[in-house]
Amino acid sequence: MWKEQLKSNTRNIFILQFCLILSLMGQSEIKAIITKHNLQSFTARANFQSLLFDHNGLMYIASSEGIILYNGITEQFINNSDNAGLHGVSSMVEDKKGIIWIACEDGQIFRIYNKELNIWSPPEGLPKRKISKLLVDDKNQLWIATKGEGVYVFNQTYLYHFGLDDGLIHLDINDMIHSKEKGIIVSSDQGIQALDFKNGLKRVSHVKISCLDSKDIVQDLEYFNDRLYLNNLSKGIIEWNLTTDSCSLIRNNKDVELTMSISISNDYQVLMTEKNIYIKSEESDQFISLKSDFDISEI
Amino acid sequence: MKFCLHLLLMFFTSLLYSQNMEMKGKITFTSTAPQEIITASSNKLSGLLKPDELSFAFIVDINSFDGFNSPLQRVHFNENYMETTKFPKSRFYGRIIESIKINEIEEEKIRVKGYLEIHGIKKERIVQVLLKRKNGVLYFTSDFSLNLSDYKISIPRIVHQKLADQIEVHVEGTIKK
Repeated sequence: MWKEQLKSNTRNIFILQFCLILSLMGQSEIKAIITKHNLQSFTARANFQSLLFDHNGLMYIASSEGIILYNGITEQFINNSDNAGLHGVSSMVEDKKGIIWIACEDGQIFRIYNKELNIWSPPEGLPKRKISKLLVDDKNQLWIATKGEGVYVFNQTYLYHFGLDDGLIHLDINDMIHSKEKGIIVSSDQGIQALDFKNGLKRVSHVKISCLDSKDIVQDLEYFNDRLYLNNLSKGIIEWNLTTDSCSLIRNNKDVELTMSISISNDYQVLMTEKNIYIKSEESDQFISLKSDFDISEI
Repeated sequence: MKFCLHLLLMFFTSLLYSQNMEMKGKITFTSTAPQEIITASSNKLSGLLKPDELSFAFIVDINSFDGFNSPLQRVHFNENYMETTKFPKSRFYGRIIESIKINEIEEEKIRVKGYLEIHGIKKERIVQVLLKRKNGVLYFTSDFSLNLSDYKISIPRIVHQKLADQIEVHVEGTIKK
């Protein structure tokens, strides 16, 4: 039990550190978090679960204490979010209308609009399993990946389901991204697949990557600059160029502890593990290890 | 000999498990428009459920709907809107999303997904269903809404105030072996 708590606390510390690293990547509004330290009292007591920057650059932090909205100067709890029944926020996303969608580990989905938090109750009902990822596509369709129930898509009118009978290879979805070449890509314990939903018609296709076995476990996915980054538990981080169909191993998992998440930006590649954060800049060939006790001001 | 008996037992067990279940019930629809509320129902809803596959199929004869506010309204429903001579039946078929054991259910809200076919148009839908066992009999109830325009049932402008595009549907019945 204590081991799990420790693991979760370590992860939370790293999520915060990860957010601080992102803030160092040139976003002035977010830099205020580090300089003003207004969130210190909050960060001391809360367990972090998920974070999101909306189109205005405002930061939503989901935590055990509720959802906090931070504008770079002041923090504010979203009304009712501390007792609205948010059980472990697993993913947050903003749609094209500015609605923030919040998914929980028990399958519940909440929405924030005009700073008001409400539970979403579609007539079709909600998943009964953990939601692993929320995503909004170009058509403002909300995609919901679950651990155990496959994938749902909400086209702003009805909710639809992708299951085994639709061609999905596994119902436990680990991660989901939106790429301009292949559309929605989901990762599971049996490789990756591409999903499409148009005019009420569902399409599932297998995505073949030359350096990955079809039944390899793919944990995390990241998409950046026509490239798909896959976290394969046995091999490591694989970079796959979707236009040239070439792939390479960019980080071996044997060298780094088990990678928990990957993040790619114009200037940096960030790997978050249970014990550390590794960062690699465009100029550098190597990942720099950021120890848990690193001093932000020194970076 | 013992092996043969085992095989025989397994065969009968699998037969028992693969036994289809019969569903019978009533379907009611309500249209709530500013000037008129129309309700009609049919007791001719029937279907099959395969517990091992968690798949199901329902069918209803559109001509069997009764109620309405006048006999003429029923004629209009069949001739002008549902075109029952061309499309006499409506169907809903698909499977249960949750992995459940039908025989063990006492009370549970489940979700079914399938194709709802009305007026010759087939659309995929997810519908919530409440299953409840009473005196050994399994009952189902479900409420959902549908838009007539989705099924290419056009409403003349003149009756817009009397017939809603969104129709509320209530379904209830029993599931028996």
